[in-house]
Amino acid sequence: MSVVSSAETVTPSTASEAAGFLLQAAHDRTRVTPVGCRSRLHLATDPSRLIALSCCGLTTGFAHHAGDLVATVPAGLSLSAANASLASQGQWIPLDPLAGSHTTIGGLVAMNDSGPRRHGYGSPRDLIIGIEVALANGTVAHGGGRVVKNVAGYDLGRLFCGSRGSLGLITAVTFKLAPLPRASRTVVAHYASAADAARAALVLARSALTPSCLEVVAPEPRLLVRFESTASSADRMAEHTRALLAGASRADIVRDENERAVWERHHATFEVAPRVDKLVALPMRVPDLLEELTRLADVTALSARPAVGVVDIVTNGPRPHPALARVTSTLEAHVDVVRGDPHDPLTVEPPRSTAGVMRAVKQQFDPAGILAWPWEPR
Amino acid sequence: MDPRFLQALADALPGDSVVRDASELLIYESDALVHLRNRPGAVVLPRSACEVQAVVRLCHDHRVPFVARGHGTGLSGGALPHPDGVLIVLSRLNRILDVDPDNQRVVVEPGVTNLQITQRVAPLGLYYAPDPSSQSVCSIGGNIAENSGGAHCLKYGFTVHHVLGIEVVLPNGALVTIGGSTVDTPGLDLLGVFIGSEGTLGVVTKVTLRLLRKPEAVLTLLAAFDSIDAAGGAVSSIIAHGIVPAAVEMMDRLTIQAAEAAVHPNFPDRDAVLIVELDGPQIEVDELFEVVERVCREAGAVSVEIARDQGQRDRIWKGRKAAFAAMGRVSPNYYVQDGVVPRTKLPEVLGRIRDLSVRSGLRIGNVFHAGDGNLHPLICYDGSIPGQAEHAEKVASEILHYCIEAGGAITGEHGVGADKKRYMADMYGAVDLDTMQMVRCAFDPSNICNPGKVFPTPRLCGEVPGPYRAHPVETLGLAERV
Ligand SMILES: Cc1cc2nc3c(=O)[nH]c(=O)nc-3n(C[C@H](O)[C@H](O)[C@H](O)COP(=O)(O)OP(=O)(O)OC[C@H]3O[C@@H](n4cnc5c(N)ncnc54)[C@H](O)[C@@H]3O)c2cc1C
Repeated sequence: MSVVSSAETVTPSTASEAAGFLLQAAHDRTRVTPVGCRSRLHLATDPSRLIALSCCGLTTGFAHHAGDLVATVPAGLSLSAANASLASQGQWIPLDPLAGSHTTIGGLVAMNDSGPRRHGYGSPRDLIIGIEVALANGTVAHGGGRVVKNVAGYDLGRLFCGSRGSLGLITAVTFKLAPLPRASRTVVAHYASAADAARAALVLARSALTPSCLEVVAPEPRLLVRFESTASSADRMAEHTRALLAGASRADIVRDENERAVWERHHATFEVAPRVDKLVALPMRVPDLLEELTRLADVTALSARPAVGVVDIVTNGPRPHPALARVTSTLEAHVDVVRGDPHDPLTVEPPRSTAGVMRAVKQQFDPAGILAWPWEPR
Repeated sequence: MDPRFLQALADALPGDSVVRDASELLIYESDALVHLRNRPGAVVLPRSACEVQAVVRLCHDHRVPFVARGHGTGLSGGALPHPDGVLIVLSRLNRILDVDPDNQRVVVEPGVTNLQITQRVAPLGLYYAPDPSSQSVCSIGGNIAENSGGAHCLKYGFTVHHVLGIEVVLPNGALVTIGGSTVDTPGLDLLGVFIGSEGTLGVVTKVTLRLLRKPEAVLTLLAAFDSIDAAGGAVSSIIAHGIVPAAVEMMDRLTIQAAEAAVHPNFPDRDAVLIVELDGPQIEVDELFEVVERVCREAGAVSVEIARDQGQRDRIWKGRKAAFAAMGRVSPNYYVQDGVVPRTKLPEVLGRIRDLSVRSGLRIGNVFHAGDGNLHPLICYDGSIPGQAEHAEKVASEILHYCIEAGGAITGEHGVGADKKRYMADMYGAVDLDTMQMVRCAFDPSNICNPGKVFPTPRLCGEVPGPYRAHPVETLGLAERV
């Protein structure tokens, strides 16, 4: 097992170039890993026999249709670059991935990466309306389109979203956009434990309030509740939230610079961590899960969306990690490696029956087996 | 059909689960797209996933095609039976199995209707968001197959955004769970690709859905305009103000008149009415609603009626949801289309439809999801006049081409089915369709699961799609295929 920053990297500048490369690789049986611009590769095989196929050079073809609230973004553009451009018309792709906003659109979609805003806006899967992919048979295929409503044919966009490079290279994505919120406020509530904060979050989730983020963070256990709306509505919802959070030792409302700092600090922890695992469970299990996780000394940071049922953790513990495995199996949670060795022994395999169909899909898209298959614990 | 197969089918199921009576079979000859009809080879009404599995296994072993059917309200011939196949009707799998209000989940069988779910969880302050106009009669299994939408999908998304897991009998007879009760189950997003696959990848036997909490406030207005363009202008302006309403629906004069005749919603007799609904926290809704009202007036609304209570709101929605059925009041027959255009192209495409109506001599009513550009032109014709049905179909086809030319789609929610498969190649390239077929081949290599739907030409799954067209790399001599 080795971690390298650069295997030999090929950076095509068009989708058909990428497809041509994949076809050649299939012919030569060269293993290929699709990557973004600054991905760290975790390689099980000899790096000399693997080529990284980067979407970084795919930067042309950006198209913003503001009146339709949609945009097509080439895979090599970063989320922040795309959003900077969309902001000129008051719109954005409302995602805040764990990998940070410098992540490429290709990487973002391949990982279905999302962060705190998932509570209110969903994940890339919820926003994709069209996709372009380069395939191992040398072709460039499209699914969906540029209208938000479209049920013609199979949904290739969702198939590729979260496919982690196992089926081909994502070369462009069309998203449904959101209007930029007029105002934002965050309630920062301090709790004795992350589990307490999660319980409070689940109570809030049952209220009429509509936060865009409802995030529990630790080590310093806090509940961050963000409202993105009109200024007066965000103000009043934040005030109301503060009143509801009676169990908090302290609750402040932050805005502007202070608010940005709170979230940036939080994101920074996850952006730089070498290993991030995502634990998924039923919402009502999240408080217990947090209780157990905070007992594990090597879980150094966590960030949970209790109402969604997702907990992201930074660990530096051993692999396999028996204590973590015990926690997840008791609480029927499953673990997904977001950053780190994808073949981590903690990774839960899909159920056997379903894995059969997944493999059949994989076989259709990549008969020569040149692309990775991350869902297989070693 | 092979009598041995029919005997095996009868042996596998309780006596009353196999329909044999010719008059009873008649009901199953079509879905709601009644001009496409086939007498099914056999019809079965299983009561459990095990019985579904037994039927599919037999079909698989005997290479007999099968078609799943929910409640037959589909508008694209998706549940059109195969003359040499088995129609598997899921209406008896109709139990709500589990309601988990804390986790906002519900587990149901596929024959439960969309509305039954909301009715069951409403006392808990919850609801199931996708709300097709047919919600009181269509099955959740059918909704999954079609990725059904509804008036409120502008804000809340489609079926695919609300399904967490499904139990499916695959075309080889295996019973599998795709997704689960949590989000993000491991592996490829097969759930995402199954939803909207129109019954071509397997038969759904159980479903886990996500429920939403009822919003604190809902405000609805009905604005009338003297032209469709003015109403369209209001929609654009609402969106340009950064407001995403829960629903934005439009009806033109002909559909207003039809709805008036059928359910008397008391809509103004104008060229267009717009229904705009906002929901969410009271403070936010109140504030944005003022903007919406102002925008409508600025865009030229001749009247704006605000629903003050649930009764008034129900009346407005009743008028909208009855629109299809109501066309029967103004025309002996009608043909519904379901094309989508980018919202900004609505005025242009509606103008073309108007011209087409004049040119073709057929009246065309328009009722549509204006917020997301999903048109439902209702082409009126008289089936007793020879040739008029065919004429109407040609008109419908022309409208779909307008949608494609405008950068849109041939179907927004009703599905491709048997009806629109011939347009698939106009919307997608050959490579795109081949790639979709690769998914199909992974699920159904023997092509027995609702064959002949969605795709214009079937593909044998032994074929690898690539070699049919030489890639540029090959023609340049840079590579050859393995
Ligand atoms: C008046 C009217 C209004 C409508 N309004 C809307 C609307 O607003 N929005 C909208 O989206 N649709 C609408 N529809 C279309 C239709 O109601 C939907 O497509 C609905 O989802 C079909 O459900 P069903 O149970 O009737 O399915 P069926 O018509 O029986 O079948 C539809 C498709 O689903 C497949 N299928 C059914 N059950 C299963 C299963 N268990 N497993 C696998 N495949 C299955 C069938 O093979 C077929 O391909 C409307 C229809 C009518 C008649």
